[in-house]
Amino acid sequence: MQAGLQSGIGVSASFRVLLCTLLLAIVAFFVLYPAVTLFINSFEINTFSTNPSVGLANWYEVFSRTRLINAIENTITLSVARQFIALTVGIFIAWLIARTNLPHSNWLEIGFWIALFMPALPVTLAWILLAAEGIGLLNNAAKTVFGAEGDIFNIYSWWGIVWVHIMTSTLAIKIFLLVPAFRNVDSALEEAARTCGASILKTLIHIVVPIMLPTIIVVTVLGAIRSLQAFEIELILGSPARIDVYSTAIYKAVNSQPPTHGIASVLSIIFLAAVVPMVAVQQRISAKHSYASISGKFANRIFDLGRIRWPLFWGIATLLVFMTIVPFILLIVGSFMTIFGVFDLPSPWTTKNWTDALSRGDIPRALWNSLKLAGSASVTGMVTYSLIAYVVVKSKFAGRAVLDFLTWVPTIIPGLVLGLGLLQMFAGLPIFRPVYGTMTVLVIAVVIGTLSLGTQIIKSSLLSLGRELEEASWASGASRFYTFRRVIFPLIAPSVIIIGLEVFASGIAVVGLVALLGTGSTQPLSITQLIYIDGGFFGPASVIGIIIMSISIFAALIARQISSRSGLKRAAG
Amino acid sequence: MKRSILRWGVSVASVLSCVFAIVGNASAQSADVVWKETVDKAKSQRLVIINQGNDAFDRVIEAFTKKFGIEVDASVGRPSTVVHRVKTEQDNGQYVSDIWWAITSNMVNVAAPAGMLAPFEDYLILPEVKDPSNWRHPDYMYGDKTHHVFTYIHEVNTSAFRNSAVLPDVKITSIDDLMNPKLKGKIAVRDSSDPNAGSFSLSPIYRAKGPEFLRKFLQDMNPKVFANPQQLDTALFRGGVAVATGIQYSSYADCKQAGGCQTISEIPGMYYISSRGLSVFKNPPHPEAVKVFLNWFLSKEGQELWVQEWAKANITGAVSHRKDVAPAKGHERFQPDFSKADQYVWTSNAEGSAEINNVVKIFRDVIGN
Repeated sequence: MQAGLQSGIGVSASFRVLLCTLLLAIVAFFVLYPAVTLFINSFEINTFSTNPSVGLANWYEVFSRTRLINAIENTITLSVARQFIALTVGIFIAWLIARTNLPHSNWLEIGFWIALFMPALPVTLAWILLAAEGIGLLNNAAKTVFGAEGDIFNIYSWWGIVWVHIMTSTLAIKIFLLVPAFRNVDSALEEAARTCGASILKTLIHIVVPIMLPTIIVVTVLGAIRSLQAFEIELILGSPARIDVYSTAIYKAVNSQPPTHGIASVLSIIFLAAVVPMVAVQQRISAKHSYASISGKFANRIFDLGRIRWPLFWGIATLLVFMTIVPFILLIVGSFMTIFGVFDLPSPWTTKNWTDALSRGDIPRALWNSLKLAGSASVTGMVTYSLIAYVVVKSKFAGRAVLDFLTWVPTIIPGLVLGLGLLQMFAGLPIFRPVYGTMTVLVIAVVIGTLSLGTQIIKSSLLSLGRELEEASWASGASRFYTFRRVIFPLIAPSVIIIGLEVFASGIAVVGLVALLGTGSTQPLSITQLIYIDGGFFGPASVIGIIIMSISIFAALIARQISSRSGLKRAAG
Repeated sequence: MKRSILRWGVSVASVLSCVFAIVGNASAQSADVVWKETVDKAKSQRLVIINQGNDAFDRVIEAFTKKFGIEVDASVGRPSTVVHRVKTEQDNGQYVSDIWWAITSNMVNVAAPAGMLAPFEDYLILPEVKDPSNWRHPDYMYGDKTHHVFTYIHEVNTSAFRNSAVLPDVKITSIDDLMNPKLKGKIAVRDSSDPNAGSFSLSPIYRAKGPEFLRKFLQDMNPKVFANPQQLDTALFRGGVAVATGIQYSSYADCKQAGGCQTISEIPGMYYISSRGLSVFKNPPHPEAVKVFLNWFLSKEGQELWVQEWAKANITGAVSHRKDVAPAKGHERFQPDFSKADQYVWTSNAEGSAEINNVVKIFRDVIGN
């Protein structure tokens, strides 16, 4: 497994160690600087005054908040519920798409990609329109058609929050990340289980899931951390129901007047302390249970679902309709409405939102900025994450475990607070002065923000490759670089492309991480949208939302096309 | 004797008149010279402005560049983000931006106390701008006591609306009527855990009835709290609640214009004032360009242009604090009655801020943070 980097690319061992050390130093600098800043900020009192001081007041205040216990409880229960549902359903659907003869599986997979790129805010508003207590369209339809007396659905509830999370990205990201990994499982193992009389479910639980364990754990831990950090949906749906979560406390501390950086930092440090053990456990389990599933005898035969293939297809297709088509239609419809969600007007329709948005001079510039940001971050991310993952998995570099752990740091610091740390780094260190206020800063921020996801998924993909593939290549006289280019890369390419796409989508939709770094000339479209929402200009904001989503979907389709055309079809299914 | 005193008095008055005329003229001439010199120097500078994103800002900046030949690098920034960024820059010795042009709440409550702003009067040259008598109420020219934030717009906002299609039998003609038990659970408020439109909209209750009434209102009436203003608008307009505080007037006006919202009406006595203003960041990199922009924009010409452009893009708030600039047609109702200034909560100045902070505290105590 870790034969790596010992021969073949024509550089000495000491030089390779030097390169790896340099990589470790760069990663450590970029991820630890914001973390150290966070720690220092937690002791700063009255930051926004002419006489800031240092002390423990922020820590006292946080620990004296009685409501925080309730928020922590909500955060944990909401996270566990939606991660459990999404993981169970996600593993099953990903397996169906990757390993079986499910009809139109390619289209279904693209459907989940699209679901992943649906922006949370408008989708949440669409679900409010459908399922709000008293006024939701589904509740009204139930009363009219079935004569229901009360409301059947109430989106402003604990289950409402779980539901909207699953319908936005919580389920989609699991399928998005698990499908390529499932495709790398050797079907011979499943066939053996089936030959021994195991049922489909038994094969999935006892054979496929254990083989996939490292990837599943990575996806679960990433999903859990994202769940713990989520605040947008909780803020909208939780407020009327008085459901507070931990992350909204951090959001409010950063955005309060005056901002309380110290409080936000203390809350983030507590969060960090809670999440680090999860990462450590993930690393321990991954190290013990990594299986090379792609070997020289790799077979990828699909599993026959028999008579249940069509019912399963319709079930998943219906789910996708609710995840993509329904909110997308509501989003489009909403952008043409005088007042979003108010149908009983004499003139409910208008093109004003579109003409207002398209006539604004700052939108083309912001759009171009977003494309530059997303494109640059995507390419930089794919190269950087591949390099880090390769060193972690295939090298004997002594610091590889530390490097692996460091890649998790940006994910365990809440985005808004990480953005603040990066601002202090870019504005404070003279080395960054020349690039402060330029697009480079934003690209670095996005690459850091998606470092954990990118590296860990590519790492999982590399772990599934059998060592004999490389050894056969070296035995045939190929260099290490040639082996990487012709053997390793084609096999991990689907994962790399998917990560490139995810980074692109993050670059297009990113808010918290770059909100403090984007200035006028570099401001991306997502920040322009946020400013319109703040200013109460929801019409133009919804139009920008549609533009952002369309770009992401278009990029997804292009990425799909590239992965199909570049000879990766076997690996991609 | 009387005649000689009279003659002496007339002579003194004549002399004084001449002196004042000469001094006044010299002062005007001096301001004129300073103005011309400043404009000349400013032409080589590129002004950096942070504003809040609206067509009116862009049109006014275009007109400024056209008139003076001074280039402007304008960017749009959320006030809560601007304070983070500029404070960090200034703490690290970087002075990038010149002018902040936005709603004044963050300027007054955060930037000025943090020492991020320059004294505004240092940048005023033209007598027509400096003269308090040209403004509707001299006490409201500045949002803060230390004169770092100049407020050129004060706008009347309606704080609460009702939908009479919900609980039509319940009479709501005053703030006291909001405590009707039938309204329990049928009232929506915008999240007021910070000084924002939510807490502004609850401030008339605090002002009129005091802190205990507001506390009781939040405790007993069990209002639904909405973080998103669009969500709040929809809840009221579609009949999800009977009363809402913090509705965006522009949404209500749009709804009316489209022929809807026939059952929606304002609740009397629920008004507050919000303000738009300008401030200069500490050590602005382009001080002459700052002076030219501020003096031109706050002159009669600049304010008339602003009112005209704001009215083209917005359904509310096309008014000016300048006496000689009339509100745009249809926007008269947004101009405060300065003869009864005490009746309003001035949410964006120092006194109003204290009241808003109390509202926030009560809201956090009762509803949560």
